[in-house]
Amino acid sequence: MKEQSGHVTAEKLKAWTEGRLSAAEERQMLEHIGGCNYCAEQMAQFLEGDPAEPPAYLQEEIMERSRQPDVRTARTIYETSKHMRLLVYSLKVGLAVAFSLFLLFFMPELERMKALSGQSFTERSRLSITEKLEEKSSRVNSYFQDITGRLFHMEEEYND
Amino acid sequence: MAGNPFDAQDLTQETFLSAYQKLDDFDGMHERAWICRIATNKCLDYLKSTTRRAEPSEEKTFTEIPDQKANPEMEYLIGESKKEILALCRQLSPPYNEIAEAHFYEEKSVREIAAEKGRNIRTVQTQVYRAKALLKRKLKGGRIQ
Repeated sequence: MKEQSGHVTAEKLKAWTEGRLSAAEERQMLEHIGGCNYCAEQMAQFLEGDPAEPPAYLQEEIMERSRQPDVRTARTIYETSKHMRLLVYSLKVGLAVAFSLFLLFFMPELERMKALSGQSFTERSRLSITEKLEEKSSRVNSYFQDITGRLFHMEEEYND
Repeated sequence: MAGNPFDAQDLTQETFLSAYQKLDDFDGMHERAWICRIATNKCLDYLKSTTRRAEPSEEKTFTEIPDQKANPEMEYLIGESKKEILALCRQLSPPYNEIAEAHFYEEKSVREIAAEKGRNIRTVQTQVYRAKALLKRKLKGGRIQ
């Protein structure tokens, strides 16, 4: 079997089990296997014929360990963090959609009101109404930006 | 990859516990490859943390098994490896010597040892953990206190 695209070969696995690979070669091979299903399957098949058996107590020891509170807690935390990441992502998408809709429907209305206010009010009143509307629009804009920034920060914390 | 059976057992346990923790991430296909990848990454973490062998050492505590296909030879080498484990266990001071011999050589579970010796399971479990730590330290050339 020739080596293609960096995948491990039977010859390389044999050299590894016989201790003929250097530390750097071994690490490189293992790093590849750690991320490649095909090579992991090749290694599993290769090692399947190993007659060395694990100790008789090991299975019970692992099962007992998996029932302990710290292991169960770690699993719960991992599942919760996945759900939280999904929730944070969903909120970000929802807010982005809401903000887009706000811009889509509110801003043209603001422009229309500016045009109307020029016909029926004094110069000073017109300016104050549009200024107030612009001010409130920028406040809402800042509010959404603040929420989005906080969500990004939360996501970073959960990823850590 | 671990170089000694005690670290190998610990890595095996870590592999299965990690698989249990991330079971929801498993897509249900290629189970053997999935477990193998977890085990490989655990071993890589172990190698990086201990910065183990660059070259084979002259003094080997455990007999290496070179060829998978030579079964009679391998069975002999496995037997020799077991004898070395027994010799190491007997070097520990009481009560760890008898606990280590019963667990690591005779491969009895903690429950079996506790039942045989009439001791509390938690006590035996603690003694097994302590014995394993002492054996690992001995393998790495330290003194046993």
